Amino acid sequence: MKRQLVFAAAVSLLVPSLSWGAGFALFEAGNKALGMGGAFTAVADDPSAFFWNPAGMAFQIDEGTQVMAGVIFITPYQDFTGSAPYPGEGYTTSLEEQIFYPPHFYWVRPVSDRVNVSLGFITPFGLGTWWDDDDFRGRFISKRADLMVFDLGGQVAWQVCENFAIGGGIDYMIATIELERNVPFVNPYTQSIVDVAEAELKSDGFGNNAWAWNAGFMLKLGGGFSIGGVYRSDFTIKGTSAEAEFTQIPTGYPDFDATIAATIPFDEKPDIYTELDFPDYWQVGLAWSNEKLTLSGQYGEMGWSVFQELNIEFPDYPFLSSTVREEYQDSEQYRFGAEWRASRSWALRLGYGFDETPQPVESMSPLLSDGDRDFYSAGLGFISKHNTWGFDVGYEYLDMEDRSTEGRSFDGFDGLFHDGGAHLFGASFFWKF
Amino acid sequence: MKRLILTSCMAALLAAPAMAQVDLSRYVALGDSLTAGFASGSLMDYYQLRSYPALLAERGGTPVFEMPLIAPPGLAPALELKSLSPLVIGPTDVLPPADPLDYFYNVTLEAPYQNMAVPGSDAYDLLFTTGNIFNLLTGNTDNVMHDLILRTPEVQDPTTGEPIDFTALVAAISQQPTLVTVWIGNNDALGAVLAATAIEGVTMTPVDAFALYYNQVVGALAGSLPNADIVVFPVFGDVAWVPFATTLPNMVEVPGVGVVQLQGENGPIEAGDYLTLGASALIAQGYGLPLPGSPPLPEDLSLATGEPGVILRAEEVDVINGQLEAFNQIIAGAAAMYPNVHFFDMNSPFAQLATGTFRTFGGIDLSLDYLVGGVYSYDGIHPQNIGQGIVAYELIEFLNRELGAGLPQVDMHEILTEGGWQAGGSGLVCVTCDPKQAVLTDQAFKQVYELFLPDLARRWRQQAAEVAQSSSLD
Repeated sequence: MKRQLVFAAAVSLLVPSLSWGAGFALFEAGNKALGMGGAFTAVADDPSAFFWNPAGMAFQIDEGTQVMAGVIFITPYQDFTGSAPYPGEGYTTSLEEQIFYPPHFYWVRPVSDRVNVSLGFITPFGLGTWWDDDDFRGRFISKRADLMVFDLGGQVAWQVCENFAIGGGIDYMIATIELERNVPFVNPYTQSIVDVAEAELKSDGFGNNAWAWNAGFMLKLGGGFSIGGVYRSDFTIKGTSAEAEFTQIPTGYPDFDATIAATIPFDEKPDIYTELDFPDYWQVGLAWSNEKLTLSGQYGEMGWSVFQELNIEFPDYPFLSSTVREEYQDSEQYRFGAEWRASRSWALRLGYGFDETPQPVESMSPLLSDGDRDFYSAGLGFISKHNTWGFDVGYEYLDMEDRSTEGRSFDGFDGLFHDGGAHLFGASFFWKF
Repeated sequence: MKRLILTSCMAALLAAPAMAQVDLSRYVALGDSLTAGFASGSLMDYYQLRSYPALLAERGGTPVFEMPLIAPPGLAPALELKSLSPLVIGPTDVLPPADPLDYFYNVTLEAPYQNMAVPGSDAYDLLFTTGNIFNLLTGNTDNVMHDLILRTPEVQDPTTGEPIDFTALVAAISQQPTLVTVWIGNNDALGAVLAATAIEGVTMTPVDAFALYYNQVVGALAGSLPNADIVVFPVFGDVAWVPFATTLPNMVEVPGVGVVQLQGENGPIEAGDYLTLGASALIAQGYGLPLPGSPPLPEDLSLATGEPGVILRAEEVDVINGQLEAFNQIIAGAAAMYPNVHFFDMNSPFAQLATGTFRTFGGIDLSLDYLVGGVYSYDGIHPQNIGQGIVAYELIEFLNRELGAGLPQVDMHEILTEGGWQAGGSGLVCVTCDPKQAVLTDQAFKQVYELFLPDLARRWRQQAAEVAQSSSLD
């Protein structure tokens, strides 16, 4: 157990992140759910119930001890076409191609005939953008951003009666943050803007943590119908374990460079302090199943209005501090999914979902440019003859709306973010003991 | 002439044309150095071509927009940063072309220019001052900017055949423009900043006189051009927005002595007082130090010699700001009288720049700070190309928002990153460079000062006489 936790923590340090949930939420917690479009709150019949609805664990007691591990690969893409006054008409660029692979891991064990306990490791939030162009005109806002939030959690699920169960748990959230951007300055010789430094802000994760909690219920109505609901609390990561590193960019004017060197702390790594608010969310779903088929739908909302700004404070160098206006709004989502159990071992899945963006057009920027998304998914499940192991594979095509800043960008970086989307594919393996 | 203008005012009162979308097919800019593209103590093509009227004309697709372009080093030689250690700004060493026609290379244009703004001019000049290019070509530089830009002293009135003075105002109206911008009046008050002396009638135009001139300008334009849109700018709203006045501190560190408070002829310079950049060269020579043998810094303009002062006491700043406020009430009032005259509040963006609340451009924040703020040129009074770009940006926002112009915006990325025409750098390594230690060389200061305050006493006598004459006509 201890070794598993250490392993999970070690894996977390290797994982790049992404920005392909609503805002920067990630719903990639298992491939069965992925194949069903994430319409899983009223189903929650595998260990990923840890994320989708902890009450679902209580109806899995007969499965014995379960372990699930998996990953979902995400390949996002997006183009940008600028407008005046900045970065200018006709300017185009694209997100650098990256592959993200948020992992998931669950361990579930019955402790009585009505109570299941579980441990899990997921990545409920992530943001990853990279504009890898030396002349990228948004480089004074962000060249590269990586934000990851890892959830190490424990849950208890209790089957209150034959048809009703509740579950809940606590989550220890760990955040790692990396931001890169260039620092502009007016060159007094040319009276124009030049790059004088590259700034890299890093946090090491374990110093930036918070506690959160979750709870859910599931009610079997009879006739194959079930209702489920889940709530996951908001939390605030207070980053006290972060530092910045500045690398000077020579301008060709030695005396000007010397002045900059006397201003910006190139020879030390000043401490920074950040505070990030993450939203709560709730989902309710309705599902119907018979022997061959499961149909599921759900509705949910995320309380993104807590995310109003991103502060980066330099206690020892206040002139380097900055505040990024975000001003997110609460957002909603719909998800629909189906599973057809073609045989005892094989199941096919389809799904569709819609995520409303919480991001106002004003805060769209190179740091994160979001939009409403439609997504379409398919999946395949296999379980062994003796019900001891199996796997799920899933694929999702995510299509994000083209969205203009409408000349209202907080960062003064206006244009159209377009042709954005992602391909998601992954596999989860599980074992039952 | 005045009767003609006043008649035009009456005609304008009777005319109330329906407002249409802004038409930039014939655009004329009137104003002073800010509109002419004067920067870093010089009128030079690099800055002229990047002035807000040029940018607006380019964005609006104006087919013809000519300017009195001047090749480097400009007129007078443009200031440049000589070195960061010591921090010295002075005129460039670049020499002008030997042939005047290569220097003033657009001077032979047969038609009037569309940018008729004349550096150094005030509301009076717009109405009454003419120019003659032959003065300039024969070496008479008494009225160099008017001579260069207006070029011909008289034209024939097309209706009466009578000769009339070819002032900037007449030159603008004669082109029957569809859009006119007017940013005039800054020299009616800000000359007091340059001379560090606030005396109404000497360094500042009296409010009554300004009202008379300004209302005549707007009335003539509105009446003569009833189908044109006329956009008027307020004058600068606050002395605190001018780094020429606000950059230097009242304290200075003297090696071996420590930090000392600078002294003027009337005593120590207090925290609320302003010390102009004109003081920098004097301080470098040992003026203003509370040490034996150190002469005090000159307080005020000498009416006998014309030598400027360098200290604006807090009460003088209040007087100048009061004058600016009075002028702006007159400007807003004049605009409100005519349906085709629009008041464009350029002071709000400047106030935002002064308080750090102005918008950002892709994470690039600008300010009114000297040398490192991005907006102002080396003379600390005039915007450089970034400042001109901001004026153009704000003006286009205004035209689109208020008049439905639908104009494409300026490309601020290009404006911010293009860079100046200067080369340079001393190569000396400096680790304590601070704009507050800047030294505007005496030569640099004098060339700016002399351009904008050529003959204060003459101007005052002339204006007083005109006011008296206008009063008698009324």
